[in-house]
Amino acid sequence: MSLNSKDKAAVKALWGKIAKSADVIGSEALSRMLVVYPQTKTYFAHWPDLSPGSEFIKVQGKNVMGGLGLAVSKIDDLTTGLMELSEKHAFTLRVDPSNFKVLSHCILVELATIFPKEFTPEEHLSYDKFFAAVARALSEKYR
Amino acid sequence: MTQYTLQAHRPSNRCLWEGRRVALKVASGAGDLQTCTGKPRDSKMVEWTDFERATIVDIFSKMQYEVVGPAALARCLIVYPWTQRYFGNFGNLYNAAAISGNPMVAKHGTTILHGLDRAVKNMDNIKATYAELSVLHSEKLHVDPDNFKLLSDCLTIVVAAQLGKDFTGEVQAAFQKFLAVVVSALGRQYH
Repeated sequence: MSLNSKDKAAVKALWGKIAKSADVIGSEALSRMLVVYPQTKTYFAHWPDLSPGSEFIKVQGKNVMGGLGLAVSKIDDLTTGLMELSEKHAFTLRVDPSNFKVLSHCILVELATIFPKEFTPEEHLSYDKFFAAVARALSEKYR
Repeated sequence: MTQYTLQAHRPSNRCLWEGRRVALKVASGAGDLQTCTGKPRDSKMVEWTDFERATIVDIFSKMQYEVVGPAALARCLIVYPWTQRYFGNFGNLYNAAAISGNPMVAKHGTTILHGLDRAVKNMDNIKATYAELSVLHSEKLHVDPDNFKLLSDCLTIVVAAQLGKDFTGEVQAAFQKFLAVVVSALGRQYH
């Protein structure tokens, strides 16, 4: 299920719009994940305030979207392009890779609420594949 | 996630090996994995908060079945093309435009969505409510239960697009919990 040229074009097309509200989308998606999948809070136990709109959520949301922006720019070789981030997730953060799917789902839901018309089934398909490819690249260094 | 357990010394005529769909992930406060064990001991009811009940009733009372149903099924067939295997007699499913415009897809999408009505009306006994449908999907339609999750993800996305910012994290959690319970009930009678 690797990305074909149609997927890459679709991802880049919508990313232009997403990038304009990236910070908001990132923090909203993250807040959503913490509410819908409470087990993900275990990765943020060291942070006291996980309420929506908190400073931490804003910073983390921005980080996540920054990472995705990097992935869009390296879409032709995600494994190489995301190697550093993979090492970070594998050795420092040690996030169980199943959570990549969970966060991806929440970002897709957020995109649907913010871009109901633009997030067509074709865009959904390409973004679902893109997030899966990003997750694979991020998991590369785990073992 | 599928786990197969050896059920020994069952006081019934059942085969010793039973395949069971495990891991009903309850997307709410506790977030614990609930395991379905043997039928005689499995009497734990799903508990719904007032907020969850009200949210589900509210979403379905405002539901545009003829828009959301077709959109959800079409999206599933487009985003997860292998699901098309169950619709060989639906005619033209060659591309996204064909799928989205296919009248059989639209009709069936509406049917499926109305199928959720009985769960909304029987939230305290969804398991029993879907026993017959579960047998149908297993014995007659031969649908891999993993597909139920794919369709429910697509339904979540379509409802999210409809409700926009009203589809908060709390509303999403309630909706996904509801769908997870339905999905579990539909997979219950597989063997």
